[in-house]
Amino acid sequence: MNLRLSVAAVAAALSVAGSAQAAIENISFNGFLTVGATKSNSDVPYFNGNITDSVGFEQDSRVGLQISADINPQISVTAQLLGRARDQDYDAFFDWGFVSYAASDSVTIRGGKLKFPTYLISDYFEVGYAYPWIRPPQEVYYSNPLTAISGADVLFRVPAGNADLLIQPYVGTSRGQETLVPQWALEVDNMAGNAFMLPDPGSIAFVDFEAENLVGINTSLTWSGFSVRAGYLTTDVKAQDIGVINADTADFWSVGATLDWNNIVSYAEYFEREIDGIANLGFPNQKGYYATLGYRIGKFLPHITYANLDDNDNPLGSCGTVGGNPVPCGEPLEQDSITLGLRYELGTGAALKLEAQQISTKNGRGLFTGYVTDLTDPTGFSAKDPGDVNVFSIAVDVVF
Amino acid sequence: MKISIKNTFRLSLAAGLLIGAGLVHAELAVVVHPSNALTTISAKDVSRIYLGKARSFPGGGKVKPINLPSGNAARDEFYQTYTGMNDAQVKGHWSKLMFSGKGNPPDEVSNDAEVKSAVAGDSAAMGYIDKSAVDSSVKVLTVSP
Repeated sequence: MNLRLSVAAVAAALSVAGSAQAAIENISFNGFLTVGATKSNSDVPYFNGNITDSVGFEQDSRVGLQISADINPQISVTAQLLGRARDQDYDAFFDWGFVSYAASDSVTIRGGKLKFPTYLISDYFEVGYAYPWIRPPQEVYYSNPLTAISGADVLFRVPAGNADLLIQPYVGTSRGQETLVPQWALEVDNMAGNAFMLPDPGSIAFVDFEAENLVGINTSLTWSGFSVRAGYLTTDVKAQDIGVINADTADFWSVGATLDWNNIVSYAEYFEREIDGIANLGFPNQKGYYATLGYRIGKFLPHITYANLDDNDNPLGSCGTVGGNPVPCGEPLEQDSITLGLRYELGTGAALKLEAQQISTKNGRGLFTGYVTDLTDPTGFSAKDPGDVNVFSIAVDVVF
Repeated sequence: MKISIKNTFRLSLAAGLLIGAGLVHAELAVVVHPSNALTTISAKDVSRIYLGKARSFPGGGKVKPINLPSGNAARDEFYQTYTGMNDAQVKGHWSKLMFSGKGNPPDEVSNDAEVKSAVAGDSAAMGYIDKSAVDSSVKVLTVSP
């Protein structure tokens, strides 16, 4: 459903008020909703802790509402409210909101809180209906916890023969983003002399951090059903909780491609992340990739994904000092996974998805980040390696 | 390869059904305001406008495309002809653009008559209607095969 207040109605209301000139051309309300359930066969919590061996609805369930209004032919405002089941009481927040100025047919300037495109689907990451999986491959999409900036971007759209070129530079800051780190990072940091309480067993550790001087560029070339993209971003991060008081530099670069052609649906992406200084403890250098191949048969889209997360030549030894104590470099998270998925179109605007994913950790715990109770350990809990884990998920995505 | 008589019959029956389906297809006229300077438009430009990739008419001037609602047979045929996409794919395409704040889908009206009056009343508008509904209030740029 797309609610639109008619031009006439708004204009009429405003003429009554005696100011017909400022008529807002139209206001639209749209939304998206995902309800999803997950279950794994391991007691070690996966990812941000919401996927466990009991059936849970917290990982994927969310609702978003978007409002946009054209102020005049050049200027529009758009904002999106997001509420997630994994946040308490679905506490809604403005995921993004900006004013957009169409300087010409090919140049649009936007300012405000912007969702920026680290990767292919980053700027519609929350809209499950718009992609084939229940959740985009974690081995790549986990790597940049920053998703939105306060700042500005420019969309340069350049027709290039049969293709369309998009060049999108962006700049801004990101503050108060709560981010998941492996608990051992906190533990190590605690040993380095920082007063930090270890999280409770089974809990997930989040730290607040700030990113400044975030500058990036996203470029893509699209023609009929095919699109390739490349992106780079660099930023200075601070994370007081893990002792990063002076900003450390973080860089991301990535390439990707997607195809929707003759019923073949495919996505592939590769990224590298490099983080200097003691921030490396919580966010070590990583690289990762995934490839998805699907084939649309009427309303069904069966698909398979292989994804891999690896060490990206992370330094060994110390990455800096806090209060004279050396802080070790982080331990890269390593895992790979195979996902079999099926998407089924429930008419237009709704899709049912089923997925089975097998995750294999390598040299550690991968993206399994929670502690589990272990009475044989003197601390009463342990960070055990879960080995191979199967995750089963079901979700319904709706846009309206 | 040996083709049995039965299979040949099935093939010709299928071909006949396809031809039959083709005959009942409506011819869709892409229409603009009579004052529009264009006299024709390419299928590629129609596709770009209705997928939000172009915001202007070829040659300039802001375009305001008008759509029929999702589930409408003429709309399905229009998108299939010009973009090769079915209704769900079109919805997916617009979901990506809309929910990343990069563009809103065309305004929708409920039938040919409303498309025609929207186009006749706005020099920037563009629409598509059944060829038989065309009159002097709009200008035809192209007719779909």
